[in-house]
Amino acid sequence: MLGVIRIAFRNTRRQLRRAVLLGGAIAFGVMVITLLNAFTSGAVANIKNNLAYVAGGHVYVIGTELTESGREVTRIGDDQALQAAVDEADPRIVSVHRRSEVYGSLIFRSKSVMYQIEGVDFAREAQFAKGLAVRSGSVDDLSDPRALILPARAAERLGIEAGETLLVRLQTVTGQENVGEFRVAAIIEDVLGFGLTAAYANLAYLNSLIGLGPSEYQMLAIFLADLRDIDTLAREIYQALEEAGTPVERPLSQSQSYQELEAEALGQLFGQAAAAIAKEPWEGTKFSVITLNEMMEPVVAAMGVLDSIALGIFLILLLITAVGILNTFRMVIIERTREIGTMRAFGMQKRTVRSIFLWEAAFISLGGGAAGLVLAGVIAAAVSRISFNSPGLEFFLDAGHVTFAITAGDLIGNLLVVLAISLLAALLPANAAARLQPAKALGTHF
Amino acid sequence: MERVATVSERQIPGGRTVEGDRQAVVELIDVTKVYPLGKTEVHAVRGVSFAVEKGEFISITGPSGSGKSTILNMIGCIDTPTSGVVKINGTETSSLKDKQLTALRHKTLGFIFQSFNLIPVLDVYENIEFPLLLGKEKRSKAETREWIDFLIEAVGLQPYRKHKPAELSGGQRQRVAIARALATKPTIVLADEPTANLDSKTGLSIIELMKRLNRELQTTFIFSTHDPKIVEIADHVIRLQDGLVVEDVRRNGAQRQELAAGAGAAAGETARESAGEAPGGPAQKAGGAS
Repeated sequence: MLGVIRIAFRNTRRQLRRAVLLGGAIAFGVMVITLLNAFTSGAVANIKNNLAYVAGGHVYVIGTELTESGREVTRIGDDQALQAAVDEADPRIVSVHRRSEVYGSLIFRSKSVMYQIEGVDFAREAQFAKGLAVRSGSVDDLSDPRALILPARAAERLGIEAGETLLVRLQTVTGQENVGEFRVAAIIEDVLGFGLTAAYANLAYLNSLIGLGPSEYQMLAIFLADLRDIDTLAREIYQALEEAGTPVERPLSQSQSYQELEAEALGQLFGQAAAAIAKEPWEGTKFSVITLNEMMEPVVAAMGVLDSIALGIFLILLLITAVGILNTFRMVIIERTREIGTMRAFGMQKRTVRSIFLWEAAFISLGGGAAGLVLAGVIAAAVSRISFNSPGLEFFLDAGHVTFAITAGDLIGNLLVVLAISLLAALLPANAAARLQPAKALGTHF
Repeated sequence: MERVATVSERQIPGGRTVEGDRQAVVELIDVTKVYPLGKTEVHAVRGVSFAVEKGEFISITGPSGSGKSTILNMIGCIDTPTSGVVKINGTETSSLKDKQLTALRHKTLGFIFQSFNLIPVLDVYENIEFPLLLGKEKRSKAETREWIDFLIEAVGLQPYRKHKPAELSGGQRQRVAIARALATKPTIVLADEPTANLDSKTGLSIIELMKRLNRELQTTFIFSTHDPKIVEIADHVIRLQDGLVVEDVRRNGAQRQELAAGAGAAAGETARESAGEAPGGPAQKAGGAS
């Protein structure tokens, strides 16, 4: 076997230019697919991280209560069952955040901008404010109930400076209009584009504006150390809540497909929610357990389309290469007919002749594949050093940088596809070589 | 090793008796070979019978188209007869499948080609080693190296062991081919016009080398040639004409000595000269790719 591999390897180097051209085509294909795969994987990871940051965690428990009039409001009043279900000492949990949020109009002088305001218990989440990139002002003292941390983009649009006061027009959870006054304690760098970065206010003060009690909140957001634990933890929380006899909606992954959820959301949008509530009323707080993975489903699906397009390009390139390999090997066999005859005369079995050509194809494809990986690595390293400041791209980036992430399994998978197609392309000429009659292959000289 | 048939006092079709307990390593019994050529047929061999004894140095001679190469092909198990029987070491080749024929070739036969047919990507050592890599026999590396070094020394190519075929002259390439043919210690070595692409001086040295190895290793050499000087060195001459054996002569030692005296003296000198001839030197008549 080693002798066969040695001959095949040397044969590959024999027509170096030809091998380099074929290998180059393969390298290009592998480079394209690797870069695209790595980009989409990196982008998905970045979107996940960014979304987790914006949403305040990886697993979310949202509380919904029914008012006397049967109106549904987002509120967690009694959180005893929830506290029991979420063990904050669980080593998988990094931090737990209690949040209220409202979408309101920030007004400063004659300017206004619509923005999401998150209510944060700054005293309880001391690390949160310290992690923000402050442009001006300070987050050291947020004891003022009206303190507001404002993203830079909103501040620029309003023309407001740290220390100045603005008004916020918003709706309470029951739909009543309200107005609050806030003092800009700090202006922070935008983390993300798309207006997804929120302004942060004191939870108790925001609650008072939206009609919640000081200790109430709307959502419990949980940050995890390892994203692979998301679904497991969500299921555990759901089960614990269910076992405690608390009204709880099944996690999306256990109950509905994304399409079903979408249909339900559309139904709610067109006023069918009230009817649904009327049919199944509940007592106290009904919890919904949602995960980042569920929120990411449409994004992952979109990236899957991009991956499919990349795979299509890759396969077309490979098909072209396969035709190249087929033709080249047919030519090679004509050139080496007498050599094949000699090897057969000396007792080389047909399968060994076949394997020499297949090994040659393997060397070319694996060599090209490896070169493609190296090229992709170099390009990825270079591109990831570039800092992009385009607001439209921020959501896909990690602090302004493109991230390339690809698993070893994907890399090996791509190389195996390249190898398989190359071997298939070489199989036909390799079989023809194996079938050559020694006497005919040796021509008139034997 | 294969079972060796003893053709004791047996009448070979074609009219010759093998004497005493001499062993027939090759037997051809009424062999014919017909090639289709368009709508017609070419009768390349028309009923040939002869036997080759172990350790013989046999020349198959005759004009072009007389069937020399076809007969060598059939003895070499790379072609099959249209009718008749070819036996190698007593095994009838027509009953064997391709895999078995390939194995038989590997174990029993060595080949020397007119155009050398060395593997260009391998150096001298590797070309000689190559047939050993094809079999299932287990040898230690040291054993293999010792044997190949012996062969390299036997053909006088010690300084060229790391040279590629393209870096050797025609005579040197044919020496490599001879060593390669002997690598698996075959019973029979077939050489199709081994001197045709060499000048007469180098050709004689090659034949002398083959003769010496024939004597020392007791390997049967069967070669085809046009060259009457080379024919004279053979122990056994089979002359073909139009696909038929017209002469099948064994010479005794005295005859051989007498015939070989002139040619052998010349060959001895040329052997010493040709072993060290320069790459790309005058040895090669035709530039056959190897």
